[in-house]
Amino acid sequence: MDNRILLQEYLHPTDRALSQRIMEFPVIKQLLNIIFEKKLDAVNYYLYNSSCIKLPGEHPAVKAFQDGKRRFGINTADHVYVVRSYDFDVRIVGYTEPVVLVSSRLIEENDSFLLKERVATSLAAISAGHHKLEFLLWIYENFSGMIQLPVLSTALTGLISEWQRSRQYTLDRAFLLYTGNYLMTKKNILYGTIPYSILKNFNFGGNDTYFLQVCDFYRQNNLVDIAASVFSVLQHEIWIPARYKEIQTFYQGGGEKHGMDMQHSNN
Amino acid sequence: MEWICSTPTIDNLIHPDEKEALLSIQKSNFYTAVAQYCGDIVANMVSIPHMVLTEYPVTKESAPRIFRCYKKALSRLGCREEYPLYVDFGYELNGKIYGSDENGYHLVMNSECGEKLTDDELTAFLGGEIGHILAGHPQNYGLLDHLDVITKRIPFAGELVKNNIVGLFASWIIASEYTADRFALLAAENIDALISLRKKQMGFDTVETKYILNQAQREPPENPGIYYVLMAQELPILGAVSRIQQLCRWVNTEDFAGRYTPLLYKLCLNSKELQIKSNESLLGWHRKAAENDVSQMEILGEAYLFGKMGLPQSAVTGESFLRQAAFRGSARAMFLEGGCLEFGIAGNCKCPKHAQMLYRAAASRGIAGAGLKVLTEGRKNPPPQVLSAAKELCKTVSEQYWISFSAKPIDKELIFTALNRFWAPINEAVLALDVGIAGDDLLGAIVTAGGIYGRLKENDLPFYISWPEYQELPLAQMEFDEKRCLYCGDLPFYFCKSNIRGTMAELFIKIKSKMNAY
Repeated sequence: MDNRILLQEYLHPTDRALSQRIMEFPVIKQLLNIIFEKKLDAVNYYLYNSSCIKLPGEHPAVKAFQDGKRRFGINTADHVYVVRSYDFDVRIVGYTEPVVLVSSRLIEENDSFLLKERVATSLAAISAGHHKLEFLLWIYENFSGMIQLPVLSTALTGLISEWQRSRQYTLDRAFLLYTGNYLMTKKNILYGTIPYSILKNFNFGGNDTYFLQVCDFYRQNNLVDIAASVFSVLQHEIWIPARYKEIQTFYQGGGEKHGMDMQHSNN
Repeated sequence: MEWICSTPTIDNLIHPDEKEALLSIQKSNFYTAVAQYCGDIVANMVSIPHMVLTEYPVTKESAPRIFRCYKKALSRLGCREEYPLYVDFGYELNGKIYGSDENGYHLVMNSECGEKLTDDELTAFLGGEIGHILAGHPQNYGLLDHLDVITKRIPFAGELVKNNIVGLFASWIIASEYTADRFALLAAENIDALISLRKKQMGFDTVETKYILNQAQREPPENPGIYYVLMAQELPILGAVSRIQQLCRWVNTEDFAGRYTPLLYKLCLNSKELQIKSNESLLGWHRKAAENDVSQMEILGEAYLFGKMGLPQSAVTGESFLRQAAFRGSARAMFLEGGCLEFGIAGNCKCPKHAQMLYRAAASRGIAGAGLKVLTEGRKNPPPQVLSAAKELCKTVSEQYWISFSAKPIDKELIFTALNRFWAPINEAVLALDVGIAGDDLLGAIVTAGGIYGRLKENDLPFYISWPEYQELPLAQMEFDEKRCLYCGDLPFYFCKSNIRGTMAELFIKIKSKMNAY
């Protein structure tokens, strides 16, 4: 059975629209030229390959990586590397030859199920091209002092922040489609943001009203829009309740279509 | 057993890539221009000791384990200067060096190192940092850290100069780490520990070493310049995989085998994960010596001392083997060790007093040369009659009291007759004794009718018991009664309270001397 997940099934419309608009800016084209002229992708790959251990083929994360490649239709990434970190994340670095980096803490301390799902879903980020834009922006942040580049316009800065938030919607959708498990997807949203000892005992069952209660509280106090606006201006991190609501909407709208577990759809 | 490597020569330890990178840097017009323009600015700036105000100093009292590892690393690298060491709070397993040649250096290590690393890993880590200093790296790192301040003084082209200079160091940065790793290996004398340290720094210490060694590497990109340097700053540790591969390649070179022969065999015997190339028969001898085979220790000690049997001359290693063999009762090793102490060979201070003690012990075991030394007390050109008397004495002693080194039951009658006048004031018969030299200090144990006495070093270190049965004995069980002691000359031997008497006596080397014969 071909259970491939197509990009258009999970790519969030805002993510798609914003990334297209950002790529049209002249400064981004300049950055692209630098990457290819200076072979920065090769430098990046060399550095990570010489500094991090490739996870052995029999490791569960590598098996998940291979499965993720197949289901998300990725051919560019070849290996999963470990990087010492106290975060719980899986990162992608590089441009044409992306490198998947799994945090050592994710490997050491947490349950293997989320580890595998996170690794597999990271392939969706490659499919959506998130790593390319991220790499371009990283180059801009670190090299703008030494390369003759124009200062980013306020408009572009705002677009970038908004894109960085909206791409998380895409990843949440991909996670849901890959796992077919709505509860696990919600757990994934909180993963790394609250202590794992609390998370593992967190009740995500049919009576999970945590976020709804929080959202209601803010709405009743007319704060939800204000808070969302402030977050939008000040940082690129997405507000977790917004992710929660977005994935809920996506799930309720298309869960059955994708054959997902519907037993908790009444949340 | 401590197999001491001879003090490393810094030039041999500099990685060829680093030499090449330095040459390339020095040829650069940018670097030359900055060096001329800025003069002493760099040296003055990197000397700012601001960390001293906020970090936690490592001392014998404040952090004994870290201090002990640090001292071990300094000693094995032959570093006479003790740079101040501080601990800073941090989750990464790394550290940094501050200072300059003119103003001295100090090291800062993250607190995580003290918590997550074993003794050998910590020694390797600190050895690498010391290696950076010995190899002269901090001047360049200081330049890179403070380049902004310097290039701002250059009119118009400051930014361009800065970028180019930082870029020049791209190859040097990783090569300097290859060099530091070599120092780290010499400090730890344990390649598994060094590799384990790197694995922990990479966040995956359960992976097998051979897997890392097989991780394919690409050729480094040509002239990546400043891009490489800035990207490298994103990594928790730079080039750990290629560093492990480089180190293992170095250990398997003929150059390493020639320069660091004793260390090579130590690595061969101790490494659980690596196959290191070595001479099989020599490896067999070293293995036996490591298993406390006294005759092999004696043979290897002499071979290293004089450069025999295809082994390179290394007085330090030779003396180390001889000391261990002497401690276990080898007469010839006692004689040769006495010579090392008498003439101050292998880094020892001249210590005629201890040398004479060893000569006496060796003479009592039938070594004619040692008897001569005892009789002449270091006088040159002894008269012929003294020489013949010495030979006769040793022959007699040897015939009468020769007892092979073994754990046979003690012949009580023989031991009682061997009461030693040297041990004074005593009111107990000496049943058995063994003495050895550790550094400048005399160690040993005496068995009397009343119990066992051990020598304390500086009154705080327990007596070092060399037999395998007792090496694992917790130090806490080794109690001494300082009120009850025997004197060997002016050195006190304290009564051991622990219940090791009896079986210990069976293991002690039996004294065969009648000191009143002298």
